Formats: sequence, structure tokens, C-alpha cells
Amino acid sequence: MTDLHEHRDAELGRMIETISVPPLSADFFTRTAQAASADSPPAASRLRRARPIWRLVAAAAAIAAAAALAGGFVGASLTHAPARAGASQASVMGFLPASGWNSVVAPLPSKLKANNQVTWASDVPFQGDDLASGWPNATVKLLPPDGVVIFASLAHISSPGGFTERSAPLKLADGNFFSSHFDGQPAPNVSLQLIEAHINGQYVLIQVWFGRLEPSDEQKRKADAELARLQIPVQ
Amino acid sequence: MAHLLVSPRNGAELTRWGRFEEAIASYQSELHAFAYRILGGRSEAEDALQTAYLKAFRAAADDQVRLTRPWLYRVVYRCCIDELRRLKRHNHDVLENAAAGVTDDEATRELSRALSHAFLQLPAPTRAAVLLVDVHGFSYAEAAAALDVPRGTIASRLNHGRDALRVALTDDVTDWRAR
Repeated sequence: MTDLHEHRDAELGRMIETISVPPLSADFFTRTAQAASADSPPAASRLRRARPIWRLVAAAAAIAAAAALAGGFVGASLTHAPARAGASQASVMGFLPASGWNSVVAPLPSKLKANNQVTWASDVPFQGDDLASGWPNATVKLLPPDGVVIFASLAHISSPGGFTERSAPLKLADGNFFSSHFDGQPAPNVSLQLIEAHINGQYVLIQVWFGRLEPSDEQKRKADAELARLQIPVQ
Repeated sequence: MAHLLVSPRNGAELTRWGRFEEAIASYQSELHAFAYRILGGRSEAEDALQTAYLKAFRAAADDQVRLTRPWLYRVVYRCCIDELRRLKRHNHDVLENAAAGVTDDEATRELSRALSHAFLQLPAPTRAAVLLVDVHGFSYAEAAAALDVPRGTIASRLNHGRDALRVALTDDVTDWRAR
């Protein structure tokens, strides 16, 4: 395409290349993929303003999505149930079976399996294609006022990274509550309790979704009871 | 690529995004550098790049386009211009954020700083023309297509940009560049 009248000033080009370019943010593609998969993609400006909660939700969703790629969830309760609730004899993170709760454990692709685990539970029936998609998107979106969904992910990390060191079982009181107008809010009526902790060399992220902006005492009690049934393996 | 693909509505969406990432993987680094050097700020470049990727992803998903290098530059450039307009509306001067060189050599670092400053004083369309032709190796015709202007406009912008940089850098460049 070049003709005799064209001139490329390669020296100038090399000089301009000395203007260094910082690397992309670590979560750049996570955010972009999240936006690409949304029904009504948030504008870039919204993602730019996103509070940390958005990134946490996205990070957990990342692992869940990878689980979906691996072939979907294993339905209904654990096969590695330990003897004592919350006490970590299990090799797989998951919820002990309980009346009125549905739970799933996600098989992860081999690349992630060594360092990540995902599980979630709901006191309402799973909705849509959540079991296939690997993320309780529809169940949370359609959560009735009395409903509760708990999503938990675990990642092995080399250092605590500033997260609070805790021991199982985790409780609602260990986290922060978001009642409305937070980034990533799946529906106007849905609130979130977000719990982050460092347990035995593992980063644990738990999202407890409630079907109302002000969860009832009964919902909180049920959520805490289910959290007590969450098995967090020892590394 | 090392990052995870996140939160798709379904497996098909994830697969489409994965295919898109693969398609742009070999251009990703240069597109990012292009956006950063047009905008001069890290977060601004990421915002423009994100918007561009989303547009490209949707266009590709609808089979409207082939993800060619010139077309991707075109989308990124347009998003950079939109970002500059947005910044101007908010009186936000991003051009001060540009980083200087990566070398340990003090003289070269100084030159890089001076060049960075001079470069970012150029109008964005001029910067884009210089970047495409002198840094990224586009022909005039390819640059014209990417920036959606006539070929003559590219030549004119190159002349202007190169002259302005020479004037701005004459003292610094003399030592570094044999002319």
C-alpha cells in the first residue's frame, strides 16, 4: 500500500515508544466480560465508578462461570459431608444438607480446581438455567421477599492480603450489609450481606442475598443457620 | 490469556466472548498502547478501550464485521475521541498524567518526558496519525481508513505533527538523534 510519496518516520516512532504505557488493570477483562454478558450492559462510566463490591461480585462470578464451562453443577448437597458442622474435615467446600434448603457444589475446570471452590444454597427453588450457567443469577433476580440465597467461593492465596483472619463458621455479623443502590444489585428488592475472610490460608467470599431490602429477623436467623452448615476445608 | 471470563448469562455467551478475546489477543497490547498515547491517562485509556471492545464484541456477534486490525483501531480511535469530548465537558485535563520513559538512562528519560509533553500537546487526530504511521506502521491509506479521513488529511496531519515535535524537541533531540 505504500507509495513513493509516503514516508514513515521510524526514528520518531521509536522515540514515541519511549512514552511508557502502564499495564492494564488486573480486572480489566473481568469488568469488560461482565459488561459484555449483561442484558443491558452498563456504560463504561458506570463500571468506572463501581465500588469495590462490584469487583467482589464479579470475582465470585468469574469462578462460577468457569465452573459452568466445566460442565455444570453437581446438584443437591454434598458427597463429602464432614462429621461436624463448620469444622472443616471436608475436602470440598459445601453446605450440609438441611430441610428447606437446596445446595449445589460446582465442579471447576482443572486449571482452577487446585485453588478455587464454589458452592451455593437457596431456600427457594433454583430458577431459570442457573444450574447450567453456574451462577444463581435468575434465582437471585427473582428472589421472593422471604427468600435467601447464599453464594460462597474459596480461593487459596499465599498471603492474607489484609483480610480479617476468622474461623468457621462465619456469621452474617462478620460482613457488611448493602441494602440498595449498590453496583451489581440484581433487582430493586434484593439486598446483600457481603462477608470476606481469611481462613486457614484461604480467601473466602460469601454473598448472602435477601429478597427484601430490610431482611427480617427470621431471614437472618435462617441465613446464619445455613452459614453454620457451610463446610470450609482445611488447606 | 490469563484472566477469567466472568458471569455470562449462559455458556453460549461465554463462548462468544472467549472467541472474541482470542480474535483480538494479538492486537490487544498495541490497541492499549494506542489508546493510552492518545488519551495520556491510564483509567481514561481503559474506559475507552472497554467501550471499544464492547462495541466490537457486539458488532462481531451480529456478524456485522470482521475483526481486522484497521477496523479495531478505528473503533478504539472513535472511543478515544468520545472520551476526550467527555473529559472536556467535565473540564478534566487528563494530558498531564502521561508517564515518562521506562529506561534507567537519565538523559533518555528526560527526553522521553519532554517528548511525552510535546506529543500530548498535539491535537488528538494529529497524535493518532503520527501513532498509526510512525509507531504502528500503517500505510497512509490504512491510517486514512482507520481514522475515516482522506489520505491527504493523513499526510497533512503527519507533516504538522512531525514538525511540531521537531520544534518542541530540537534541543533535546539533537543529542539523541543524529540529524
